[in-house]
Parts: sequence; C-alpha cells; structure tokens
Amino acid sequence: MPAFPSDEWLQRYRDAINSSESYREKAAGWEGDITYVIGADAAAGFDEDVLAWVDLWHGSCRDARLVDRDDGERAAYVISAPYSLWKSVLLGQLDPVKAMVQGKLKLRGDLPRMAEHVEATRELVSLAVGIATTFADE
Amino acid sequence: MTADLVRVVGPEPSGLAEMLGAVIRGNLQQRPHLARLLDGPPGVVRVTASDVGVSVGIELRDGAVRVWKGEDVPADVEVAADSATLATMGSVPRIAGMPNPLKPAGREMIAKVARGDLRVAGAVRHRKLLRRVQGLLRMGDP
Repeated sequence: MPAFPSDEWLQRYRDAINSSESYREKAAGWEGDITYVIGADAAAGFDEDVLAWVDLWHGSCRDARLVDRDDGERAAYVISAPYSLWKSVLLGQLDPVKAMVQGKLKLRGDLPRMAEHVEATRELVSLAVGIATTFADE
Repeated sequence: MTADLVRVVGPEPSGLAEMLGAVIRGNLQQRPHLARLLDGPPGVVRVTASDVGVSVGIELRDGAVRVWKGEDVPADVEVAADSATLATMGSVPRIAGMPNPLKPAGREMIAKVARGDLRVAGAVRHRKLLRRVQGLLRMGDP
C-alpha cells in the first residue's frame, strides 16, 4: 500500500481519477490544477509542508506528483490543512466541506468556480478515500 | 475594484465567513454588473451551517458588503442548512428567484425545504434583500 503523502500514492490517485466514469462525467467542465498542502508534522516524519499537485482537465488527471513550494503555489487552487486533518479526510472520518466551513481547511482560488463543481470535488474526495493507504505516522 | 467593496470582519472570522466573502468577492470581480445588487436598503441575512453550529451575518449597507462571524447579530432573513446544502445552494437552477422545479437540482432543493433540511425565515417580508444576497452568492450564471 502506498504511503500518504508520496509520489506513489499520487500515482494511485491519478489512476483512480482516470478510471472513474463518474468523475469524468461530473468534471467534464472542470479546468484547473490543485495543490494540496499537507502541513508539516514532525510526528509523521516531515518537518516541512508537503505539496501534492494534481493537474485536472475536463474529467481526467493529466499529472499528479509532489512539487516544491514555488511550483505548488502556482496552481489555480491551493488547499491547505494540517496532516492530521488530511488523514481524517482520507480515512472517511471528516467531510472536507464541513472542515472548510469550520475554517480548518483553507482554500485559495476561484471559490465560486469550485463550488459550481462541488459534485466533482466530492467525487475527488471519494476516490481518495477509496485508495488503500498507509500513513507516515503509523 | 469592486472586490474592495467586500470585507470579512471580526476578531476571528470563521471559515464560513471567509468562504462566503470569497464567493461574493469573486463574483463581483468576474461579473462587475452584480455591483448593482449592493444598491438598496440596508439589511442583514444570517446564514447558519446547522451541522457544525457556525453562523455568519451578511450585511448589505451603503453600497458595500460586510461578512462576519456571529449568532447574536439581529438579522432580517435567516437561512439555515447543513454545510453540504449551503455549498450547493448557489448553483441551484432558479426561476423567478426560486429553485426551478423542472430541474433535478431545483427539485432536490425544494424537497429539502419541505423536509425542513433547509430553513428560511423572513423571506416573504424581505424578499428583495434575500434576492440581492442570492445574486451575490450565485454560481454558474453568466
């Protein structure tokens, strides 16, 4: 099982997105890359933020990999949260929309456009939850 | 320029206040004609995410918008629903300001009102205010 966060995990994520008919349908009008910023967590073994970038284009994922800060910050959307929160999301224990409303998860980018595609966003979460994952702190 | 008309205020703005402020700011930047919705009598719409117990006030006054966290602010209109419903409300197809029953997403929103999952109070008396705020929070329209 791939560890989160890692390039291997992101490749599984990319494969899951590209295999999903449901995502392809819901995200047909979506254009825009996303960087997930996973907050530094010494207990999990990383002292600096980890940035995971996914390039999403009309229902498919063209690329997904770890990137440096400069590249990551250039994405159309940047979503930031502590590692523990991302872990809860991936374990299906936390709804990211609720986390945003509570201010635990921060989004930078065109929010009206993202909210317009909220079903596609939910599908992205669901696909991530479906990946058998090991966590760096376990 | 129009985005300067939106301020998220308060000592600790909540995630919901930041989100709604960002939606209004983005809409005014991309659709400057929406600035006409800022003109009119002052009023406050309170939006509550009932599943997480977070409320914010959206105040239209003097041609600008203020969004702040808080339950104690007197509001003219009250809107309450769970976070997921609030996230999708802006993109529900509408007809004459109401959810369009001819579209699945419109019917779903009407069903939520009927079930009490989406509660709106004060809409009859302050329907123009509600429509102005709905217009500022709109997603997906030209």
